[in-house]
Amino acid sequence: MQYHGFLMKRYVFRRLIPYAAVLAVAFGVFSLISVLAVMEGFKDEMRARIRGSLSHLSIFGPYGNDLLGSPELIEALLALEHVEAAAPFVVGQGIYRASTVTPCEIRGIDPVAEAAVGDFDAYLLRDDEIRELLADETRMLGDERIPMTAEEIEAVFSRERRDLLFDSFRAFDGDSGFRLPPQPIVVGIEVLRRNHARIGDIIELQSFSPRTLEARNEEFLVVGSFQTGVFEQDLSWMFIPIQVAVSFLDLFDEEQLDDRISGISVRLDDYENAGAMRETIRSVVLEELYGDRLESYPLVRTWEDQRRNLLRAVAVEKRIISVMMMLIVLFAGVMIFLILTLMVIEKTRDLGVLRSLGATRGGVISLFLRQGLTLTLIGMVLGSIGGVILVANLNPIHDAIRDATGFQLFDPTIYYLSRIPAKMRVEDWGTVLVPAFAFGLLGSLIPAVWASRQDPIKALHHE
Amino acid sequence: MSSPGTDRSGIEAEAPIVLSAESVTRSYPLADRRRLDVLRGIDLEVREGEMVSVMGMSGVGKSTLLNILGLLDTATAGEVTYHLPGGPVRARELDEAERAEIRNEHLGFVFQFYHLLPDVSVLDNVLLPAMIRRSSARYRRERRTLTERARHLLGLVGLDDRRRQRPGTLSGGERQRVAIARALMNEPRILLCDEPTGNLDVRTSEAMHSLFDTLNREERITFLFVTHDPSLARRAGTRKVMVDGRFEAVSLEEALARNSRGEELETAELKTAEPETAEGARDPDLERGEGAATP
Repeated sequence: MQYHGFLMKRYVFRRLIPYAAVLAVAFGVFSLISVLAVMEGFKDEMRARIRGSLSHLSIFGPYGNDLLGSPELIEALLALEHVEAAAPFVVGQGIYRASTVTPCEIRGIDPVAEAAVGDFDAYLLRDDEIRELLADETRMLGDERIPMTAEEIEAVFSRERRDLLFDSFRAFDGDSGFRLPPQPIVVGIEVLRRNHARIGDIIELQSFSPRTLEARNEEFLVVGSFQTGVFEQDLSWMFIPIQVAVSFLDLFDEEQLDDRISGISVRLDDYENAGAMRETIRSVVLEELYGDRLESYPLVRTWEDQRRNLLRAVAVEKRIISVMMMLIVLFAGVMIFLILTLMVIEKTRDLGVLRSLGATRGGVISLFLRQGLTLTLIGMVLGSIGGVILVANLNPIHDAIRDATGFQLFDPTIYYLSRIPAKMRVEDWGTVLVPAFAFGLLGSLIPAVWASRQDPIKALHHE
Repeated sequence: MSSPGTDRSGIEAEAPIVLSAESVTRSYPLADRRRLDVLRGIDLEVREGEMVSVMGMSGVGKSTLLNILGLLDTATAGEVTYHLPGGPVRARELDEAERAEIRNEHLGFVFQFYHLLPDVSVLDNVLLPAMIRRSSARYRRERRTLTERARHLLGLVGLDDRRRQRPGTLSGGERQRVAIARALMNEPRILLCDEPTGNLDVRTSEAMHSLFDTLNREERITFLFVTHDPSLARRAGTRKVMVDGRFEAVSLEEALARNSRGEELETAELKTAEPETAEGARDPDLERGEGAATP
């Protein structure tokens, strides 16, 4: 009805107090949109970190290092549509003794094949990069870094490099007798940064064979380093060639005449196909190869399956922050409720007049509901615009504040990120705007219904 | 219909009836199974072009009667009938939306304290009844006509030149004239006036009486006043005197004489309620506690 809009202009837009509600809604929406965008940005970055070296899909032996028939399996996998590469791997626990004794995770890989299924080429470091990272303990190589080529990767593990490093090591030690260089090992950058070992050092790796449960002990030559960006991985992972790992961990099964490896990493053309491919591999490939050997039936996992807990933790963190931030939007709803309630009290006599002039109860509800929702919608639009502007200019704003005050809000060394990441998603807009609208609606509806229930006769006598 | 307490002069008996009330009572339940009987069997008939006054001391139930006739309150018993162009309509049979529609289209209210909206101009106050039942689109289409009518009404009450002002800048008499123009906006069948001069000084009241006369005579506006202002009551062609929730068969002069002798007419008395016969208990509005206005 005409009087709704007419009175709304007079009651809402010609007063200052209702703008407090607009500000509250705008601030709530602005804050939530900004925070969720930054959280989403961090979540994306964390996903990349959490994924680390994991390939799209992994196929594991049922009890750990007990996957038999890996060459046939790899061959069958590579024949599948969407499968781009497959590489075997071995994982074992151990400790290494260099300048100190430290627990580690031994990862046996085919270096070139591993680069094809994962990001090994992206985080295996060149010598100059190692020097650069050791010079600045907080530095992380950016995304713009060119990954290593297959030749470069092979060179890191090559006999020539081992000979060269081993000769230097022996010359330094004063050892002049003939001796073959130990097998190569690549350690994380944090191992070097903590001086647990250096490139060219010999470290002693101790573990046990998962097959025979016998203790295993061997020396390795540190030939290279890597940086995944995840501190724990960069401190504890150790890469050795898979055949060396099979030998070191005594994984050759003499009865089966086959190596019992941990699993096979698979890279797909698109991770979107991972779910479907997991089922295909289970139902087609494994059924055919292992159908009659239930005791050795392998497991197929996407990288998200393997890191489910960590991913959940990140998602829960975002959810908790969303809920906490939602309190601001709730507060905005309360503001609208209070302002409209005060308006109903102040305009009680007007309500009596309107009712006497023919306004219905529904009309009065609509009058106040429109006012509340208009305030909410204006706040939502302003908050959204503000949020978009902030997210788009987050880093320049941060830098300007830092330059002006000297206060650095975001320390890039903590997350190995040079810039504050932010990403807006449609779902997050929904997470912000739907509750904002709902709280605004609720905050308007209660005073609106209360206004409609005012007795017109009492309202006319209201002082 | 002839009822006690009627003092008629110059009535056009053949004029169509605008509204009628038959045996209207209004009771309010009190604690201890008692009830307050404010109206106790009111019969009333108002014809087109008639000017009716209901006079009585404070607290006899005049405003309650006006609220019931104006569909702001509900009678405990009895019947109020509106004789609309489409046929008679009984108040008891109306739902909330229909009551609002009749208030808007067929009734006009003038209150003692004017009750203009302070945030809008004089012209917009007058236009308000037209806005209430029109959609924005329809209002925009008819805006020119409606504004012309509002200005005509403001001209009738001598305030067209003040139309852009806020009510707060007007005197009491001027505000009441704006309230009258507003009440006339939707061409109501009757104007219900609750102590229209009760808040005005003698001189302004006299001017207001003349205005009522003019509107009644020249515009054929039907008036029902409740008042304790004798000079206003005297101007009405039909004069009713209310005593203790009933119309008394006394002339206005006699009632005034009684009053001046100090024979204060009793106000509504308390009675012990008979719940099974108290129809008010079945009245949904009353059950909600609505309409429990000070009589």
